[in-house]
Order: sequence, then structure tokens, then C-alpha cells
Amino acid sequence: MGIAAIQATLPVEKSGVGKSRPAGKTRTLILLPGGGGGAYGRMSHHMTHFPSDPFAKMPRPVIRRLIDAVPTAVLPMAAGIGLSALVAPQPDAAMSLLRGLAVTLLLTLPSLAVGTALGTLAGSWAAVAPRSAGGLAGRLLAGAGALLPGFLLAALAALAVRVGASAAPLGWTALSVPAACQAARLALPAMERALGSGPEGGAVRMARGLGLDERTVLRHHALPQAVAPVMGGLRAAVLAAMVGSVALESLLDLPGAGALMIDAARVGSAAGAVPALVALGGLTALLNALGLGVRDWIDPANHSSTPYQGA
Amino acid sequence: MAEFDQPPLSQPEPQPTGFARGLSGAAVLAALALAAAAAPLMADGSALHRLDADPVAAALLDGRGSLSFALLAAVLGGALGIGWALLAGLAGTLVGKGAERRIVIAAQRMAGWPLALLVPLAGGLLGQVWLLALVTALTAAPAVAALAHAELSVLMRAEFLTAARAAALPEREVLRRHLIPNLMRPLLAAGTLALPRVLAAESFASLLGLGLPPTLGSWGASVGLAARLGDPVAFAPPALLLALALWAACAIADGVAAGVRKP
Amino acid sequence: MNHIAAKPAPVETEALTLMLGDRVLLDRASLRVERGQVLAVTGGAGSGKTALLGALAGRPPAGVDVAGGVRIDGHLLIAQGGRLAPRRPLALQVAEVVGHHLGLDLRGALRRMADGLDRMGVPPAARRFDLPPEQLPDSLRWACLFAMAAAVGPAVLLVDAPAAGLDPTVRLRLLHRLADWARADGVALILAGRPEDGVAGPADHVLALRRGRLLPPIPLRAGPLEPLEPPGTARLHARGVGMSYPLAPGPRGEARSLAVLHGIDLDLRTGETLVLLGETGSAKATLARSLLCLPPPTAGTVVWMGRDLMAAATPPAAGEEPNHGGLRRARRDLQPLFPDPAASFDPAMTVGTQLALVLENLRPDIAADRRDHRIDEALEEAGLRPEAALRWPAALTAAEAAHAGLARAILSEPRVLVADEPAAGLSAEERERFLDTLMAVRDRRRLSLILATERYGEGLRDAHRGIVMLAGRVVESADAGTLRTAPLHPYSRAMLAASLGGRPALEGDAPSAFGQPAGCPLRRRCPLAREFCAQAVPELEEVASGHHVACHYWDTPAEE
Ligand code: SF4
Repeated sequence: MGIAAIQATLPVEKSGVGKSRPAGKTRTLILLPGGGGGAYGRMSHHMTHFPSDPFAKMPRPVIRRLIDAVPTAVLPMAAGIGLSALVAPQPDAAMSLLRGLAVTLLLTLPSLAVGTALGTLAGSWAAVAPRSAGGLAGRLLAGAGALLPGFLLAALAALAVRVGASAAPLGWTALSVPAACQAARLALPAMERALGSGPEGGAVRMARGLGLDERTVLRHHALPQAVAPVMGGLRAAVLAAMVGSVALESLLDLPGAGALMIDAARVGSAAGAVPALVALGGLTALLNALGLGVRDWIDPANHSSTPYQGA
Repeated sequence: MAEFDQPPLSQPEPQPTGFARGLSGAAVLAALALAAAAAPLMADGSALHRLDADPVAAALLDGRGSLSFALLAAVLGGALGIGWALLAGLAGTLVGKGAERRIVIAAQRMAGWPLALLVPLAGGLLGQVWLLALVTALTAAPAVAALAHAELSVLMRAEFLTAARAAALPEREVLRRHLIPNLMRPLLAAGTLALPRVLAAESFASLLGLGLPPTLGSWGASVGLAARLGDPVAFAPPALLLALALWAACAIADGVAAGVRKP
Repeated sequence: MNHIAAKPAPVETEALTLMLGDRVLLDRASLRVERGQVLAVTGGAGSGKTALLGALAGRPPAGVDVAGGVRIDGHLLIAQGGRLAPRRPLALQVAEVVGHHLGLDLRGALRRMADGLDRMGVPPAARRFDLPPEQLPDSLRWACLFAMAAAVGPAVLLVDAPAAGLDPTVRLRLLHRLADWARADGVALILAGRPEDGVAGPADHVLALRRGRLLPPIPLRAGPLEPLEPPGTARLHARGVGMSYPLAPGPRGEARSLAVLHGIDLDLRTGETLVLLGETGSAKATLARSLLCLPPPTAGTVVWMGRDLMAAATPPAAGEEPNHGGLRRARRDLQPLFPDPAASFDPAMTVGTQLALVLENLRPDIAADRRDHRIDEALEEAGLRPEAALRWPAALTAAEAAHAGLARAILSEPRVLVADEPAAGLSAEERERFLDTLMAVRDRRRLSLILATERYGEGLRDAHRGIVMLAGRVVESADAGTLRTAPLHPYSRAMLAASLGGRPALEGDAPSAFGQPAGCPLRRRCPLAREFCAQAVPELEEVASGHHVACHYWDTPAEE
């Protein structure tokens, strides 16, 4: 609730109400445009529960990003489905494409989220305690990044399934490992810089000098600097996950949109493949929009999308 | 304006290991290429029935197709991307900043699309190797273009260009003496970005059986086949070699980029 | 500081020794700072200030060995750079620190913080703490840090490079506020910073950290090296020079632009040194570049020895032959010094190659086999050894790059040097050495010099004449002696006060280029401002021979 309260005051303040307040003996008042101590009153109430605060605010930026993404995400998906209804040879092509999109989303979204989160944590931890188990895992992930593209892991998963493992958990793992690698690869050096003696380490040095305890320093002053590049690299992670999921679906014969596309391409049917491709493009845009929303939610300072990062 | 002192006691920042990684990547890739080239000798020079040959030799043989195709497509893609960035720069000086921005934004947008999916599609629908190479190159070009243009615009604002103009150097000479020498490395670095991308895209398509034709052979195709057949012995060698080649390609791209960033 | 007191002082060291590897940063220093005492420690980059503060605070930087005794009461250390977590709302960060030390909840912490902000003179309208520090102006960030310290109320406050990078008038105002608070509350305050950063101003005691020892500072040179010769006739004339940048078109597609330089008139005589004084946003650098036509200004004319420079510098229309001869002649005579000399060298060529290129281009009359000799001479005159020609720009230190820039500028035997903060990246002795070299070169060659700087005293000590600029306008111009002793414009007076370490009589920060107030640009900060100041931009008027001031009320005392 804390950040939410502060955020809520922002637009009012920007419109100048905060400035027009008479200057004077407002000793208890640091920017309270919304009237009295209400906002801060609530905030102090939650003072002890700081870490859980941001959740109150989660949906707003995410929803805003999703609304922004309608033309680039939903329209291609709709167009793909419509196109397949018009041109595809099978009668139920549109329905199966819709189902396929759902399967693909179900494959990619959880693995992306879990992989990125774990990778970021492991990567940052590797900078804090390089010799601990978590740190070793982080360094391993960061180093292995390029060794483990999603489609190769998908092939490995397919092999394992042929040999007798069960498909679903393996599939998710195969997709989340590259995301984790990518996140760790970006988080590790950023965290090292945040803790190092260069100019990026200024915030941490300051926090230590001000006598804050090490937990707070790591959580609030160092970790955000490691998360920021990961968020910037989400777009590349989404692309990798898309490619990986297409390979996975096709190799494991899952009824996803990627498998539909590949099957159609195998028989040389453009009418079957192109709608699926268009729809998958829309799905990528949707995932990107979700990523941007999450970034805004984690990092309120970031209101514009940065072009070209981490590609 | 006084700038902050650099923290005087800072140890030199841990040297970017990128350059060393780039070198080792290049070494690994060169070794792979050599091994692939020498593979026919290993297979006794007899008629190559690939599935009968031992899996390592077969994987090395596959490497010939994968690596040569990746090299071809990477050169194409790098050139396309660099040309794209230069075109944007040219449009910026001749037409106006708006045109430049539009061209670059197009590249950035496209870099966010799942272009790699086009490769299996092209493999299935078009079927010719040179068309496949062109499509693969196109999947890498936008990212190269975006990076190359970023480097280009940083350079165009450099103070030493002003210094050169203060010495009354004609624009033609500024281009020849300062811009082109300083552009070479960053553009090359942006171009090498294409190598891991095209290698990955081709392997992905071949994995699904829609990439290079079977006569050429490809790591991706062998991996896909082994995965479908559930044959770990046939799976491991090409998968490992592919992973190694991808790592090496990425390391080269990183290394060249790190070399450019160095003061 | 060697009092014998009954109570122990809040900061006491005994034979404190700091070693970085086998280098001695500090050699057996005994230091004692009493309650309510303000100590400034100055030193150039790398002299060990940060290590000293770190050792006092009990967390020396990595690699520094500490020996000897340190006794210190409850302390806070404000680290160099003044950076906070960049993306968290400031209010939360402040509350965290204050709450951590005093055990207050958020509301109480913010209340104490508001007290602190009052003491730092931050008006309530400016308190935008819902924003992350990244989005706040630097001056406000520093004020908040100081206010945070005041809210916590430690026994000892250690501040490393306080308010570095701010404009001198803003920096000195904040430092004085901080010192006032320390004296009033009995806090031992130690400020560390570079000598030219003005930390000495508000301090009771100043110690300079030199070669491992804490010594009294060496006073800086106050006058010119050699008496200045009177200037000759005017050769460079600028009339109505203005610069505006195009902005994105407005809502109805109309073209918009932002004017940063407004119709400046200026004459430069041979052998004259003219200093352009101004802080951020004064457009002194823009003016300096406009005089060189790099790029040409958007309004007005620049005439060098009867030749219109702007006509020569504008690219010729299609089909016309470019007028290279005229431009080359003017460029040979007018040479720039850049604020970031290292960036003004092409990283892909050695220094010597670049100098040769300049010489070849500007002095085609010098035979090719004489060039190397000329380059060696220029390097030596600029205080470098001839071997520097073989080095790559990346291998030069900041000071060497500055000297190499000077060598390049004098290579073509110019008549005017236009220097825009040429020593910006240099500190302490390096800085003095570079400025001395520059002045020696000027005297030897009888050059005219235009020097743009934000350091009032340092700029004026070597100059014939000064121009004080504010928001793209000249607000006062007079000979250097007058400006150094009795400036009339409130802004010049504030800059003078700041350069002497005093308390500038200006409140608040400079407005941004997009938010200039109507009327006098100083109106919101000026102690003399009245209502009329909002209605008309003051014109330059001559108040004495050769002394111009642009202020409606320069001769009226402040209203009560
Ligand atoms: S014109 Fe007014 S506001 Fe401007 S400097 Fe003079 S008194 Fe101050």
C-alpha cells in the first residue's frame, strides 16, 4: 500500500496542486496534496509490512500495458484466427488455432515467469556470495546461457519423453532454463557493479554509510540495479521462449499453435502455416506487453519503453 | 562543471573478460570448422553412409553443412543489417531526422518479432537453399541494424568531429580520416551479432525437419531425428557440438562488442 | 584543534595511518574535532580523502589498511556522489534511514525530515518526495541528504565531496546551511572535497591532504602570473549573436524552437583576455562555440578581421564552390579548447598523427618535413614531452589530454583561443598547472583569449575583462578588477561570494531552460526582486565607463 499511496498522489502533484499550497509553517507536511495526512497515515500503518506493499498496485500498469498492446497483440491473433477460418483446408482450423494459442501461452508464460525470477535471484546472489550454493548456481546459469538454447533443450526433453519421462514438467523446465540463464547472465554483472567500487556502487556505499543494515542495503539498494537490465532483456527472453515452445510442441506433438504451423509447413500448406505464424506474432506481442507491465510494476520510474536492449 | 572524482581508491574494475572469451570462442569455432572439414578423413574416405558411421564422425560431418550455411547467412545478414543502418544514417542527412527515425524504429520493431519462426516456414514452403539463406539472414538483420545505428549515432556526436571541423577539415576528409576508421569496428561488431542468430535459427528449423536439405547435413537435423527416434547415443554428439558452436558464436559476438567498448 | 578538553571530543584519532598497498595515504595523523566544529579536508583526486572518511567511519575502502587509533561517536557518512537507490521514492528511503536510527514510524520520520528541510532552506513547494531520486534535480537530492542527516542528528557527520557537480552558488548556499546546522546542534562536521569545490568556505578549519600529511592549505594564486599588458584594437566582433534549437512541432503543426542565447554583442581586442562567467544554463559554452561557428549561430553576425565568419562557415548552396580559403584562414586564427579534451581526440589515431593532420590542413605553407619539428615544439610549449606525439589518446591521463589539446590549438599559430571550461576535469595542482601553462602560452604569443568558466575568482584573476552571463543574456560586463571587487548585479555578487567561500545571497536553484520565468531570469532567486522585475527583461545599461549592468534595481538596497 505504501508505494501505491505515494503513486496515487503523483498525478495530483504534477497538475500543480502541490505547488500552489501556501509555503509556510507546514512542518508536518511533506507534499500532501491529496489533503491532510491521509495518504501518509495509511502508509505509516503499513510501515512494518513493507515488503508486501507493492502487490496492492500490481494490476494497474499491467492492465495499462495490455490495453496499449491491443493493436499489436490481439489484432494479429484475431487476424490469424480469422484467416485460418477463411483459407485453411480443415473446417475446424480456427478453433484448433485458438486452442493452440492457449496451449502455447500456457507453456511459455509460467516458464518465463519462473525462469526469469529464479535466474535473477541466482544471478544476483552469485555476486553477493559467489561461493555459496545459490551463487554457484547463478554463475553456472550465467555462464551456460548461450550453451542452452530453448530448442535444444526441447529436443532433449523430447528424447527424455521418448525414453519414458512425463511430458509436462519437462516441457516447462526446458523452456524456463533458457529464461533463467538469460536473466542470470544480465543480473550477475549488474549486481557486481552495484556492489563494486565504480560509480554504480554509489547507492550501496551511501546506504552503508548511512548505517542501514546489510539486508536492507541488498534488497533496496543493490537488487533493483540488478533487476533493471533483466527487465530490459525480457524481450529477447520472450523471443527465445517462443522459438523454444514451437520446437517443444512440434517434437512432443502437443496441440499448440507452433505445432500447427510446423505441421502445415511440413506439408507445404501456406494456408495452414501463415495464419498460425501471424497469431504467434500476436502472442509474442502479448507476452512482451505483460513483460513491460511487470517492469513498470516493479520499477515505477520506468514509464517509457526502452528501444532495443538485450537483443 | 566539476565532475565527481572517480573513487580514488577503486581497484581497476574487473577487466572485462569479454575479449578473452571472444578469443576462446573464435578458437573453438575454428577448431570445430577444422574438425568438420577433416571429418571425411576420419570416416576412412569410404562412401559416407551417414547413419552407419559412428555418431561422432557423423556429427562432425553434419558440422560442415551447419557451419558453412551459418557463415553464409551471417555474412548476408550482417551486411543487410549494416546496410540498413547506413541507409538510415544517409536518410538522416539527406531527407531529415524523421525519415531516419522511421527506418530505425522499423528495425527495432522487427527485432522484437519472432522472426526465427520464418525460417522453418521458408524451409517448408520455399525449399531452395539460397532462399533459405536469404530468409535466415533477414531474421538477423533488424537486430544488427538497430545496434549498428546506435553505434553510428554515438559516433556522429563525438567531440573529435567538432575538433576536426575546427581544423577546417572538409566534410569529405572528416568522413575519410575520422568517421570511416572509427566506424569499422563497431559496425563489424554489430555484424557478428548475426552469427549466433543465424546458427540458432537454422538449427531450429533443421531440428523440426524444415531446414537444410538432408543431403547437406546439419546438427539440428541430426538432433531432431535422434530425439524423435529416442536414441541418446545418436543425440549426444551433434547436440553437444551444436551447443558448443552456439556458445562460441555468442562469445565471439560478445568479445568483439567488448573490444569496441574498450576505451 | 589541539585543545585539551575534559570531555573526549566526538572525533579523535591518534597516529592514524592509512596504507593502500605500499603507498602511504595518511601518515600518523592526529586529529581532533570538537562538537559544533566544522573541518574541511581538501585534496586532489586520489589523495585519500575517501579513505580517511571511510577509516573514521569504521569501514575503510577495500584494500586500505588502517593502523593507529580512531575514536568516534555515533556518526553518519554521506558517501561520494550523493547517490541513493535510484528508483525508490525518496520518502521511503528517508523514512528508512531516519526510522532505522531513531526508531520512528514513517509519519514521525517524515516530520523530522520536514524540520531538516526547513533548515536546509528547501521551500515546501519543491518537496517532491514521491519521486525517485533519479527524477529529482541534483541540488534537491543533496539538500535532502543533508536534511536527512539533520533529521537523524548524529554526533558526527562525515560528508565526502558534498554537493560536487552543483553550481557554485547553489553548492555554497547548501554547505553554509549544513555548517550552520552543525554549529547550532553541536555536531562535529567533516567535509572532504577537492580544493576547487569550495568545501573550505564554510569550515572553521581547513586541512589539505598532501602526500600523506594533513597540512594547512596553500593559498591559490590570486593575481596574474605576470602583469597583464593592455590590449590592442578590436579584431573579433560579434553582433546580436543568438542560438535557438528546433523543437518538435507544436499541437497544430507550428514550428517551435527554444532560444538559449539572446542577441549577444561582444568585441575582442588583440591580446585581450575576456572571461565568460556563468553557471549551468547560462549558455556561455554555446556562445563560445557560436563565436567559432561550430556550429554557426542562428542569429547575428560574427566578424573576424573584417571577414564574415558565418558566411564562410555555412555550407555553400549546391553547385557553388565552397569558400575554403576564407574559412581555413579564419580557423587558423581562431582555435578552440574543449571541455573534455580526451574526447576531442580521435581514438583511432595517435596524438601526433592528429596534430600533423591539423597542421597539414591549416598551414599548407609549412613544408612536410618541418611538420614534426613544429609539433614537437608545440607539445613542449604546452608542457608535454615530444614523445607524447607517439601515444594513443586512450593512454593519456586527463591532465595530459588537456595539455595535448592546448598543443593542438597553438599548432597553427592562432591569434585567438576560445576555451570552454578547459580545465573542467582537472583538480588541485593539475588544474593550476594547466591554467598556468595556458596563461604562459597566451603571454608568450600575445594571444587573445576567451575563457568560459563557472569559477568566478579563478577566471577573473587572469583576465582583462569579464562578462557575467545568465540564461543566455549578459547581465554584467566590466573590467576584471571591478568585477573582482565591486560587482553590481545580484548574480555577480552571489558568484563572487561563492568563489570566496562566502554565503551567496540567492535562494533556490536555477530554473530549467524550458521553465524560464517571465521578466528577469533571476527573479525567483534574487534578494532585490520586486514586482516590476516580472514585467520586463532588464536591458544592459552603462553605469560607469565600460561597466554595464542589466538589472532594474542594482542601485537600490534590498527591501525589508
Ligand atoms: S531585475 Fe530584479 S530580479 Fe533581476 S536581478 Fe535585478 S532586482 Fe533581481
